[in-house]
Amino acid sequence: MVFNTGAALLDAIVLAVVSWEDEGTYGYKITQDVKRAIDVSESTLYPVLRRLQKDECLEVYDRQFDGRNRRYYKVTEKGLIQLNLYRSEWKSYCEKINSIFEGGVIE
Amino acid sequence: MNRIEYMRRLAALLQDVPAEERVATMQYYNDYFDDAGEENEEKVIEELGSPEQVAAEMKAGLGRRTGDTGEFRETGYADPKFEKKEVPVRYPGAGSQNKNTGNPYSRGTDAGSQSGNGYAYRAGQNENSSQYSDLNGGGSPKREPWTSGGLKIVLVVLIILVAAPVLLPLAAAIAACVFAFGLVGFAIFIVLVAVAAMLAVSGLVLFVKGMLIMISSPAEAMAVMGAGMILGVVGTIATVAAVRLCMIVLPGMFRFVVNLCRKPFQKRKAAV
Repeated sequence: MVFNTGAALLDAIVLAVVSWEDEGTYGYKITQDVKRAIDVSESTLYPVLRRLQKDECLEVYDRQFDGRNRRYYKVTEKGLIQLNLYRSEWKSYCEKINSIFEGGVIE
Repeated sequence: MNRIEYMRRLAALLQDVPAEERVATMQYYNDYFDDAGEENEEKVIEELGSPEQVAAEMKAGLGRRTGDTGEFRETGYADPKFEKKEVPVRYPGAGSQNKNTGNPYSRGTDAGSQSGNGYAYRAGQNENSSQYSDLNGGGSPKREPWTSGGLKIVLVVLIILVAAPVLLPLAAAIAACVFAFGLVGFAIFIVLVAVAAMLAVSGLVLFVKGMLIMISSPAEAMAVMGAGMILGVVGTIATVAAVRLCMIVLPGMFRFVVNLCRKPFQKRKAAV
């Protein structure tokens, strides 16, 4: 990919992916989902998840699965607010970039 | 390298991070392997990269963690590996564009201080961390665990200081008792050996004496020599037995005392 993914965008993508599941989702699945959009290194996502967790945007809980404990990540109230902020920011960013690319003038 | 070796290597590399972080990281990657399935083990190891890389990124994540404000802004978090890969060759001097791309994204009051590295086409992103610590408003959060550790040490030292007038004489008394018991035990066994040895030696002396009076009074001499021989043999057997006993008992006693002396220090270590 030519465009790099900054921290905020990475946070936003991870938050969005986690928010798909009301019950929460787990590390491996998050990685696979994020990789569908961006070419992210597998080892990059753990620090992102951990950071979001520390910033209280994600919460974790362990649930039994297949005879073992699996750690689930779930978006918190704060995380949802953050995600919505990201969404609106991204929208306006896209519009501006698009208008530049298409030769228009920023309103 | 298989999964177990991989995880072991990772654990070894994470020895210098706080235990809580290490456990969480190990659990994450353990889950990751489990969820990927046994058949994908090799693929996962390949995708994750070396344990060194995983550990480095995890530690970088710890260092970059931001404070309460500004964590979601367009600040400099970026994977250096990414950056290098994706820098378009045609934009070598694009550093000056940073300020322009950064500003539309900043929401806070400190907009000016953000250069939007996340979107910058600039090589050498490694300075990111220093930029980050500026935004934190001082006090890198990575240090937190160490300060609490330091606090604990101070507390322990204080407790020791306060309790010293009572504890020190008590400890001295206990140490003296242990020392005395050890010494007495040691002495008992040494004496045992000495007595047995003396028995053997006196047997030998009697035997020699008997030989000396052999000519003057043969009957007496035979009796004395016989007694000497019996004493000598019994003494020798007793000496050997006592030495054997010492070899078994003394090292055990020594070890016990050493362990006893070591115990309080080990406990203190564990408490800190």
